[in-house]
Amino acid sequence: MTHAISLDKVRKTFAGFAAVDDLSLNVPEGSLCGFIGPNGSGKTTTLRMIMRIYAPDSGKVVVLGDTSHGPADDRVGYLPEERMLYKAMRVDEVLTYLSKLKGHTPARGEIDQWLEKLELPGVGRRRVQTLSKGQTQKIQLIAVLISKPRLVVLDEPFSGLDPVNAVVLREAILELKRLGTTVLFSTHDMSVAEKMCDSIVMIFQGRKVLDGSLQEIQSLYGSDTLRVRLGGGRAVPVIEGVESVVDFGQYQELRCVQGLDPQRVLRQLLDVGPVDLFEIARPTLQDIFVRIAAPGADAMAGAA
Amino acid sequence: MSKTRLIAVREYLSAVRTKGFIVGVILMPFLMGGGLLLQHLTRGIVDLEVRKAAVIDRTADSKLFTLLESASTRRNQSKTLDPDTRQQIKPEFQFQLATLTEDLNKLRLELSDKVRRGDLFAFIEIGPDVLAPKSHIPTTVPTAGDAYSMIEAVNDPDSLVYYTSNRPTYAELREFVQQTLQPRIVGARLGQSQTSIETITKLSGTLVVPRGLAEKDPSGNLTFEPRKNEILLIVLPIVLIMLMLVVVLVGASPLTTNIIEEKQLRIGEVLLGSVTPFQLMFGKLLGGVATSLTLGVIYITGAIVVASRLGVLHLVTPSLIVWFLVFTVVASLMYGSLFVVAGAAASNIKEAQALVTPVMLIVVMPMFLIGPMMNEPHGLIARIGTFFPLSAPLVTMFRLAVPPALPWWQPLVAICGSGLMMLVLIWLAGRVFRAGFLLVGRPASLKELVGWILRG
Repeated sequence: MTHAISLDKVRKTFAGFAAVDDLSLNVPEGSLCGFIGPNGSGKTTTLRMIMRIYAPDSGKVVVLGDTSHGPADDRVGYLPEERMLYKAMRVDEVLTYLSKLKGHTPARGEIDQWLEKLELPGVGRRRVQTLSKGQTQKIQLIAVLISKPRLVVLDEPFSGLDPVNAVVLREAILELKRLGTTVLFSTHDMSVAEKMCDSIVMIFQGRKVLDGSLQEIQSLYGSDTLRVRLGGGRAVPVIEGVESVVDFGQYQELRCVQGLDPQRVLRQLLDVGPVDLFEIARPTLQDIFVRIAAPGADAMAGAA
Repeated sequence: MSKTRLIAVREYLSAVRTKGFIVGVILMPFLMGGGLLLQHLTRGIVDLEVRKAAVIDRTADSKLFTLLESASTRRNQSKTLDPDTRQQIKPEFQFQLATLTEDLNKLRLELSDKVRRGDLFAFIEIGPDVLAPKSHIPTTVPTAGDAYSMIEAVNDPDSLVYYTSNRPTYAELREFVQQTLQPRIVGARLGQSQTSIETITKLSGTLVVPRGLAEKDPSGNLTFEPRKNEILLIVLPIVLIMLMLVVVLVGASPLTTNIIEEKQLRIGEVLLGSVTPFQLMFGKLLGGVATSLTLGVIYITGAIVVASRLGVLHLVTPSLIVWFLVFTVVASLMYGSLFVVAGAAASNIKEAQALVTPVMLIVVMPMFLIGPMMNEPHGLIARIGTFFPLSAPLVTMFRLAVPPALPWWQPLVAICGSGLMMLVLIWLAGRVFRAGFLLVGRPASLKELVGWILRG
């Protein structure tokens, strides 16, 4: 399998603090990879090393087969987390400019096609400063995509988008994947990562803690979660082997110790009354994320 | 290079499309024309108040007061009126004889008070021995003081004419007194030594006359190069480097804030995903230089028009204009790169202002060398200034405008040295910008800056 991105034991420090440490990961070509982790875990630093904005202190970063420390080549598109455009420029001018910097001169009508595709018809002649935040974010995405990159790196692309624009962006990313473009994006939205990504990488405190498909990650954490709703809205009694109970209103979620027989739990619940719902659930990405990144979970770092 | 060009073109267009630039360019001819118009309009506006001066004439029969009075009457009738319109264009001079008293100092005080109150414009005291000075042993010649201190030291006070006014910048009345009395006084003194003023002029006139270098014309006759205009030789190089400084600073100084804004708007991160920091910094520099040269062309055109109006354009050789354009480009690039470094190293506008101050000092540093270079255009200081990249463009331009001609290789060395310095500075700026562009709001320490330069 060819990898669009390959990091090998990469380390990057700032003033003695290791923002990224011993990070190795591979993103296969044509895949859609979600890059998750809590704030300050080193996601943006990693993406900047992939974009050659930062050079690693040690380790190797290979992007589309290139190991040089020059700028990211024209085959790579990048949408940084904190992104702005030249406010005084017209939309079509700024798109042409950024596209040319990636070695692509837009054909006549190409910009208008992109604007219509992202539901921004007719804004090409407007100044950037007249656009709303959502419109500006979509223009920024077009600026990345218009040069038809082989690899797209997006840092928190969904942040600040309303649900409607988030759907538009999700469709655009999925279309890229269908066209064979490799996409790596960071996000805090676990549901987005769950639904869209072929593979997920999570880093915590600069180190990789998860790497694989959603199924692989879920199987790693086993089926240790039960969802139950007891008749009459009763509370779950104390059951040996159940570590915690979280009440979500419509159901309660029980986290069990490894190896606990769900049937035994069901019997104990039935002993005290009727059971309206009993479901053996796989942990969601959100659950796994919280388990790793929650306070006091530092020991998990480096487990993967 | 194409990406650098793209950045440069964007920077240039964004700069020249600003209201400030457009208004500045449009207003420039009006400002220049307006200045000339203002001069023309104010030419006829003069204070016509009569200049009254009291004269303490201590000579026998007040001969010199009579002379002043009659000369002023002639002047008031002929020189104060416009010959065409007969309108008064200059103030009249009026001299009053002050009555001599026993207490001369008291008279001096009274007249001084009148000058202070504005009743008199000035008063003149003519020494009793002014026409026939007595023998006088000079006092110690002062080592400090103005030129008049020397005159007072070597002459008997009674053989001098004192002019007192509280408006020393108005020279016309003093000069009138000088021009009226001087020939009569000198003539009287020479008459006593049986020597005519013509003889003295012949014997004491200037004997050293500048002449151009000798050369042979096509027919083999010896000719001399035309004499150089000495005033122009002093003024021209100063005007040229001042003009160059203006052009450089107009385009280069905004580069610092431009780069700070790039950091604050976070556009730099988008651009660094496509270009190297060097390309980004170099592109910005070229855009800024193109902006300054656009203004420069306007200024230079204006200067040529003014020089033509003043009739001195023929004194500026075409080769000098070419050198000026070349070194303006070199200076804009080299000094501009200093402002780029300041922008790359600063994290906010306030910090940038602190960094720009030493940069400005570096830029104007060659101005401090004008004095020594004027005396010794090929001296050690001038040569060091030519070979030191941070001063080379201005110093070399100055030397090119002052004869004798520079050896051909010295301007080339200056251009190469400045170009190399520019490349080094842009490389440094790129490294600092890449490492520090995310540090908006927090100033980088010197240790951090050095670390960024070394590690990138």
